[in-house]
Amino acid sequence: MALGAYAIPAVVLVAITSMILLVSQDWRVSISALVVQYVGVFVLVALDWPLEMAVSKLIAGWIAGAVLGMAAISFPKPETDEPDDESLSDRGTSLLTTFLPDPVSLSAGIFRLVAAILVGLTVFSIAPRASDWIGSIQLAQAWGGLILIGMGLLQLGFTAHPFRTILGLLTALAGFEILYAVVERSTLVAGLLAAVNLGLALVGAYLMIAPFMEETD
Amino acid sequence: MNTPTIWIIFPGIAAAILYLLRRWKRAINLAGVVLALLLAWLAWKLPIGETLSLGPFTRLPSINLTDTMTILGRRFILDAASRPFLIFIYLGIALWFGGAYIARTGILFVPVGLAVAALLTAALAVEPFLFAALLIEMAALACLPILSPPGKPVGRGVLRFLTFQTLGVPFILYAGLLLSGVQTTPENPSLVIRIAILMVLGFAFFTAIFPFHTWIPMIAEEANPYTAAFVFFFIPGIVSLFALEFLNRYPWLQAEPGVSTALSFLGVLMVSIGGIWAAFQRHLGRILGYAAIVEIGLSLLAISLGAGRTANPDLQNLFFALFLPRGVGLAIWALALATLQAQVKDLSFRSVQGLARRAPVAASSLLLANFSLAGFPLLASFPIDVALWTALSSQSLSVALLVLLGFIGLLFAGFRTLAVLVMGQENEDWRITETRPQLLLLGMGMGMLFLIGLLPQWFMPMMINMAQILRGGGG
Repeated sequence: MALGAYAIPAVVLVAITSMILLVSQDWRVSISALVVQYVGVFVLVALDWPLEMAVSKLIAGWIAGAVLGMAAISFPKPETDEPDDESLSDRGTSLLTTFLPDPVSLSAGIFRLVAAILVGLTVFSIAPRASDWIGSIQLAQAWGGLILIGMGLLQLGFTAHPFRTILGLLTALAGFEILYAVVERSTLVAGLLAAVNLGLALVGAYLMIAPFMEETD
Repeated sequence: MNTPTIWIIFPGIAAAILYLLRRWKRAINLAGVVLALLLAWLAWKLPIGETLSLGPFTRLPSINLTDTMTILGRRFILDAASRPFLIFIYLGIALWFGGAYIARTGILFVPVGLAVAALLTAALAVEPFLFAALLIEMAALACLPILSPPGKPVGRGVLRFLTFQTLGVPFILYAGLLLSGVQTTPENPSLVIRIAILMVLGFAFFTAIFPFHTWIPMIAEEANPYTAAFVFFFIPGIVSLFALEFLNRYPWLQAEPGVSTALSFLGVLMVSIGGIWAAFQRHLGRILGYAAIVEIGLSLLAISLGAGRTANPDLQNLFFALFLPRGVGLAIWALALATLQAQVKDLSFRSVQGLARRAPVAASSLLLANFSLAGFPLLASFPIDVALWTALSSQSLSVALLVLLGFIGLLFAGFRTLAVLVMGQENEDWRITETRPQLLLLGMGMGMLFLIGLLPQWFMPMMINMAQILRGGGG
């Protein structure tokens, strides 16, 4: 496949984007990193899949990013200029904490970085043995897939916030999709996995804004 | 016309339409019940795989009802053997919809419930059946809006539920991949170990098996009890059915002694720990959650009885027989909790003290459902629990005793609940404050708990028929 030359750059790309997702606290940066990450996923999947099917990963990922971004953009602005409206002020604070769930201090940032490096080292040591489990996998695919799974799980371990949780799940699932693409080329599975990605993004968007929606019952 | 269109596509479209009409709460609730009952009735009556003439309308062309639908090269099959499962799913959904309005589950419950039913039916119908993992994940995703309704903060239990369900998908898909093409015992023992590890992890994530069960009590505390119980019943229930089909498709896997031992170990762990922890909870919702964990453990034990080299496949009947008393018990318990919740700010022991004096029927229903799931004599779960306990004790007395310990824990939780609900001011009068619809449904529920317990032979044949069909012995 012509994309073979881009395999290693794709691994580097997913490693960098997943690390940004882990460390960054700005939702704009996070969503941008997620969107770029799917380019790497697309390249690694396209090593085994026909281009037109591999594009489905890219499109699904980008739509997922767009859905999360739309949810963030459509958020009502916190009305901090009206201190007498206490409930609104509280709501504004909650809104802020939704996207800045756990402000990362320098030491916490370094800790996350070190944890990410440890995940990277683990991946590089076990990736060569991935062919024992997945017959015809290329080393670059094993690296890319395992890095994303590791970083996604790390992200999940660090947070209990809807936005971050969804980013972690999408990252881990993207890693699995790279590994699974090597052995399964069913169109239905590709469609269902794309649907799961979109479903996760939609649920994430809903969970972000649900607390601020009007009660329906 | 094909059967998947009727039981997958049609309810899916109906769910979308009901979502658009969600303003009319009562109407969509009623429509949901009628639709689910209609689908259950069609599953019972329609001649699947035969030509269907439209009765007196002789001018209309007759319809050939095929059992297969092909999407993207894969088949969805709902043949005559699927009939009991379809009846079970849609009758179950109708039962839950019946109490939804009174339980104040919110306007999304019925549309989401129908979508979940369609997705779970698709999960049972898809070939290769391992793709079901993705459909179950989509059903779990669909449940999120009802577990975390608009205007309420997102609980940690919901996020944990979402995480665990999503993490289960890769394990099941990969286990299925390793299993494809392996019809007899693989010569490579390491392959068997890999498959077993992947399977156990995948189903542990999906069915909330220890240590991935933590979302159950958390959701039971955070969400509407009725919605929570709906999820506890359907998601682990259908996934355990899926697991059983998994085992039945690969007899060599079923015969592996390690599989039976692992299932038995996990089942005992769930039942005993769930029961003991239930006994020490101080929140009525969490007790319900631990009761659901006990029920998942009982399912695992029932599956383990039908696995292993010395297993008796007829004991799989117990797995199916558990569904009815569990469904009725959880529904009544959750409906009673929702009724009580309307009168207090939360369901902690501190808040519900003396509540039985104001809502005696709801309190009685709650206690009866609790005692029923704890295997109390004359109530719905008792005949099946006794049969299960007898089968377990004939294999291992220590396992049976640990299961008994779990039941005792659940009973103890019931007695604590009773004590808390009736304690209160001495001069406070007893009065009925429940509404008429609440009284009617709770009364009917209590009647069902007694009826199933006293006359199990009326209800069990259909459930047992499902087991025979799964083993390919009937239809």
